[in-house]
Amino acid sequence: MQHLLVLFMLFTFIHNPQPEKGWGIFYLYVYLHTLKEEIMLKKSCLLLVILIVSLLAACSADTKTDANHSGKKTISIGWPLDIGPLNPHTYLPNQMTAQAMVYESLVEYNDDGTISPKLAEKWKVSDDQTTYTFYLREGVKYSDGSIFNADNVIRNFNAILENRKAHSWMGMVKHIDYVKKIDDYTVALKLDEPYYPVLNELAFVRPFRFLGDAGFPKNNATSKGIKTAVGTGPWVLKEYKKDKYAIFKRNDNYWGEKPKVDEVKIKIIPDSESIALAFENQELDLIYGRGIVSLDNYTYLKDSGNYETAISEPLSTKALLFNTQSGPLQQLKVRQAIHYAINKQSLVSTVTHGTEKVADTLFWDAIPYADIDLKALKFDSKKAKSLLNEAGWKLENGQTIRTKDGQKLELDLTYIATDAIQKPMAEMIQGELAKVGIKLDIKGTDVMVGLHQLMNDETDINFWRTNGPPTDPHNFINESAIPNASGVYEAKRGLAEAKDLNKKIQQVLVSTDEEKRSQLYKEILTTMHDEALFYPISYETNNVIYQKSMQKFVPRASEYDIPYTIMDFKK
Amino acid sequence: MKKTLWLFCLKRLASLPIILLGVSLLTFFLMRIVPIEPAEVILRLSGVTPTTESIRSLEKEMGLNLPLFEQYWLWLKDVLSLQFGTSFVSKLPVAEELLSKFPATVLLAISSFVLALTISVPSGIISALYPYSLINKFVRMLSIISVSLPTFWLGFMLIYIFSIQLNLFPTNGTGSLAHLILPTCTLAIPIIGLFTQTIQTAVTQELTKPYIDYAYQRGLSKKTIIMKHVLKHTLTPLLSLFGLTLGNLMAGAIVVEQVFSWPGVGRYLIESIINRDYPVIQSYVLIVATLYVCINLCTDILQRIFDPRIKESTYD
Repeated sequence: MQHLLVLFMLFTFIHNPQPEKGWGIFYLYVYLHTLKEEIMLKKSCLLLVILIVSLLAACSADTKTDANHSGKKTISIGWPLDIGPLNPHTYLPNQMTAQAMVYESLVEYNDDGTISPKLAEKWKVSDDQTTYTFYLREGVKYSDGSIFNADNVIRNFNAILENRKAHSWMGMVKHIDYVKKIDDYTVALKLDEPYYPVLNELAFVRPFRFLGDAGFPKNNATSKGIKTAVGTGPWVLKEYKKDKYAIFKRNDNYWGEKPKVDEVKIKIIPDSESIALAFENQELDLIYGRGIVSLDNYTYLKDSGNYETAISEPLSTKALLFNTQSGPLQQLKVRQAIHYAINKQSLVSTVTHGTEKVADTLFWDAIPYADIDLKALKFDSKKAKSLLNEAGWKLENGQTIRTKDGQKLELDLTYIATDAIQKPMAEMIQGELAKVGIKLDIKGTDVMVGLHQLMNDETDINFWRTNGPPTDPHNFINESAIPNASGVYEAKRGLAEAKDLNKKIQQVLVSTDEEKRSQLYKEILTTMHDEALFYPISYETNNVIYQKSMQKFVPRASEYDIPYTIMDFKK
Repeated sequence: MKKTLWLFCLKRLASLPIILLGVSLLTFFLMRIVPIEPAEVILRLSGVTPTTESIRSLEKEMGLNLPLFEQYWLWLKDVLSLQFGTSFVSKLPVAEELLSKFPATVLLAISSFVLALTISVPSGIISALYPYSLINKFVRMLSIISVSLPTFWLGFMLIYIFSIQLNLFPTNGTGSLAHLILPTCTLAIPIIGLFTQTIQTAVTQELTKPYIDYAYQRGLSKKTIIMKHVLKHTLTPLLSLFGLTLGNLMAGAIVVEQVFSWPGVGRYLIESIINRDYPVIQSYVLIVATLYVCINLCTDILQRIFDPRIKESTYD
């Protein structure tokens, strides 16, 4: 009798690896029943083992994706960090992707570099370009049903500007004089002097997004925390378990096109390998973003043929930044020789498996003001060698490293030790430069250390990346003229044109004439390109992998704005 | 007899504040040697380019503009009030954050510790009892393999086999018994190897002692000899190893928590180190130091209870 029961249990277990929870109780009953008849201890031990295994199997019922489970359409995605307190006006530990789901801005930045209306239906810029008048969209409601209007906009702006210093990285913040209500649906933003990127900065995910009145704490001090996350965006936070997951449900009050699925579940999985495994085990519907899983994993999942993949338009640029302050890199010819010495095509395709495009210029064409004609320095090792010879770095007989006045041509390259792409790239570059007689010492460090070494003139070359839209190129330009910001200010110190560049950078941000501005941008970017200050490597993209149960969609060229609203499952 | 045990405990506990003061001073000032400022790290990790104004304003908010000793004193006051300071990143009391994460770690630590003991004690004894058998060789081989496996690799292999191929357990997360199995096994397997080897060696040595022969001659059964005498004599000296292992597990299984997205203190520590969240790191070190001292004290007391010979030689 017992043996039959054991066989039955094994049978059900094998054929039903995801039994309902009731099975566990059933097994327990069967076990106890068997125990009554069973006298021999050994056999009951065996049964106990089987019971434990079966109970475990019963526990593992919910390992699969929640899609269509309870009649609700839920998209599950993995994200490495907890979403944070969902405060629209502060930074870490808030995750931009989550903030962008709940809160909206006055205007929106599109992938092609244009600006379109969002909570502001239209806007007007005064002739002197110091007053921006926004005409707010009427009929917009917060997720709690409260009305979005001018009073609320002013309240948010004031709360943000209360904490001006924290937002001083954003050029606009320094220039805002005041914000004024004109009528219930019109507000005016007054600047102290013209600053053209106002709309781009307003489109950014933080801090200029709007919190409903119910979310404001005492004294409106949102910088200290908010009461509750109330936004006008398409999603509302429904359930949140810190460091475990967050479930967002559709905002039924949403004014725009309603999301197609009911819920989005963000599962917090800190390790990129674990995200890939969870996806493979169908616990996730998609993996979305730059660097969320390693490119090796991306290629592996793509090549399996079991999933759909997509790549966005470029977002940001991966580059090397040369320190011109001292050492051999003061010489333009040495910097140019490095450009010619590296086979960029093979570097990018080997390391990124073709997911990133080769970059010849610092900015991708769709970045505003960056569509200018610049001559790419293509791979040509002969040219590299002759340039080095011209610069006085000679290769003596029997030597592998070039020398000049007894000094060896030896350079340092610092990369982020944990970065899955920088390390192999650094090694390949090291090999390429050795071929032309440059000894490259590569050093893996912490995220922050490389930049610091570059700023303090302690390293020669550092990996560097642009911010991406919507703050490029004006934010890049802005940072390039400030010490201790992005490292560009320090790196370009050795250039003869450094002072001239800084002057042009000051002008471009306050210029009121579009034509003059384009011209200034062209001159700045051309000088940087001709001076070979950067070695652009590749344009980074959002890489997306999704289950075949999902409908096709196009990823956006934005790091934080994941287009959940357009995603849906196949019918 | 009891009085001496109490005295011993009191002496040890009296030294605790001095140890903790030393630990707190050391971690506090060692952290400050690192050249990069937390304010800047937090801004950069927020995707914000630091400006002098924003760094200064953040430093003021975090109290980093004060003289070092004042910072230390303020933090120490917070520790004494059991708040353990305020996290730079979340702006919440560190105690609150750590308390919310310790249960997950403790659950994982205890389950893997219990699993390791239940498997390694019998396997260690059996392989010692039959020194030239196949079982012995098998157990020895397995324990050598399990000790030398890298944890992250083991974790991923278990996920691959039991989640993806066999579809028995979820790949990561918490919430049910099924979520606990794979991380527990990943943590326990290397410990099983270590314990089995140690127990086997200890039992083998014990079996050569004259009192075993005497016991046999007294007519005691093998079972009684092993269970009543050998086990007690071999496991008592091993208590400190067990204690140390439990301490290690409690301190957070950083790799396992990362691989299985287990929301414990180990994962929190990693995030805090990346964010240069000084108050969290300092408090964590302090709490773990306390934990070690307490576990050590417990094992010492247990040893004294099981083996009354110890207390006569020391601390009297």
